[in-house]
Order: sequence, then structure tokens, then C-alpha cells
Amino acid sequence: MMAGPVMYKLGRYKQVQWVFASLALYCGAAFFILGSMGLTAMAPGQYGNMAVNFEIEAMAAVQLFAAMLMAVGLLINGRWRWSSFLRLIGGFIVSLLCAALGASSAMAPEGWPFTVYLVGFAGFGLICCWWNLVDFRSAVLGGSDGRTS
Amino acid sequence: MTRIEYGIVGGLVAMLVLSMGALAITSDRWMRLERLQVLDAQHGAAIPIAYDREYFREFDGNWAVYVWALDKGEWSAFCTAQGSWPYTPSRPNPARTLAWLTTNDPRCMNLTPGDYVVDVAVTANPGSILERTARIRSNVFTVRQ
Repeated sequence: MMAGPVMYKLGRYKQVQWVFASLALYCGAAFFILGSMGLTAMAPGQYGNMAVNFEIEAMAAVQLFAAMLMAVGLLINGRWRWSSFLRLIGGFIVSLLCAALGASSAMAPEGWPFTVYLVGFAGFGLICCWWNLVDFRSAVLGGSDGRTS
Repeated sequence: MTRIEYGIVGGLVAMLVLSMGALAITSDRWMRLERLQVLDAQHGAAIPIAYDREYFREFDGNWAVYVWALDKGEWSAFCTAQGSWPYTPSRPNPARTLAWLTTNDPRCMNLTPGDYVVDVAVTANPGSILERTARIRSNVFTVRQ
């Protein structure tokens, strides 16, 4: 009897991860468009020094492409053993960027509400990263955790 | 995974690396605006400033000065001056006047009594992919009667 190709059925809480990736994609695209139009997408009084020291389009592009990488990882899912790595890296970069912006906003005069949202979103991202880390470990160890969603 | 999917993943990784590279290139590569201090002054007299900045490379740049006035407890735009300049590597003399900083706006050169703050923005390589802007804000200063 011929064995079929090994399917790595990875992808914990896929719908929840889609929500995170979609929100990250939307925010990255929106800020990229606003920044490209020359609008004050990130006021220093709200986002702190990061809004002054870094180009908004570059930050938004990083978030946009990281979110797309995560989305592609979700689309591919079990058909490629290392799709969990794509989701992990994409989600981690988005979470790191949001956490850094949250810390920068905390130093700004009107930044605390933005810190609340950014840190919350970064926390959401880190939870997704944890799920994908577990999936990645399964991929490295060569097994299937048997769970799909 | 199909070849197209490999190509998409590869393209996304490349774009991500490029945008992280773009993020790493900041305005510090061309200039640094270290300090902008404006002293209190009498109405009608020259307003001394200490504008300490350093330019590291030659670049064509745009500058903009925004003067904000404190009006009934809120900051509102008072006047704006802007222009372009071919910057060269240098560390110019910081001792200047506000009139020098706002050369082409008569309203900026003649502040009425009150509290003000000044924002300066210098943009290197405007319109190019390497466009980077450095900003600095002054202290709050008073123009006395």
C-alpha cells in the first residue's frame, strides 16, 4: 500500500488568528495610505518619539508585509510543513511593532489611550505567536499534533 | 506548496526585509536637530534663539517653521514659514534670531505679546524614496509687552 504525502495539520485557532492577521493588515494598509498621502497619520503628541524618529510609511509597510506573511501562512497551513514559521514570524513582527509603539505612546502627552489599544493588540498577537510556536515545534519534531481548526 | 506559493512567500519576505531596511534608515543619516531654544523677548525686539543642528551629508532639503500661539489655554497655529535649501555637511552657528528662522513670513517676524512655541521640520531628499524628516520643538517662550 502506497502511503500518501504527509500532511502537517497545523494551525491552532485558525479563525482567531485570521482575525488578528486581518486587523493587522487593515491597520498597516490604512496607515501606509494615510502616510503616503502626507496626512498626519501619527501625531508625535499621541505616538511619541517613534512617530518623529521613524517614517510612518516604513512602519506601516513592515506591519503590512508581516501581516501578509502571517495570512499566507494561514492560507497554506498544513500543506507546507513550515507554514507555522511564517505565521510565527509575521505575528511576532506585528506584535513587536505594536508593543514598541505602545511604549512610545506612553511617553507622549496624549498617548495613554493609544498605549492601551496597542499593548492589547500586541498581547493578542503574542498569544497567536504562542500557538504558532507550539505548531512550529511540532513541525520541527516531525509530528502532527492532530488538531486542526 | 506550488511554485507560485513559493514565489509569493519569497516576494513577501523580500518586501518585509526591504521595509525593515527602510525603517532602519532614519533622518539621522543626513542630519540631527539637537536643540532649539527660544529666549523671552520684548515685543518689537529681536528674539534670540539657539538652534543647534548638524548636517552630515549634502542633500537638497525643504525646511518648515510652524509657530504656535497659546490662545485661551489652547495652542493654535499662528504662522508658518517654509522654503528649500541645498544643505552641505556642517555644524552651523546656533546663535540666531527668530526672524532669521522665519525669513519669508511677515507675521512670523512680528509676534504679538503672548506665549509661543516653535516647531521646525527639515526634510532631506523630498519626493524621493529616501525622503526623511527631522523635527524639533522649542521651549515655550514669551513675547512681553
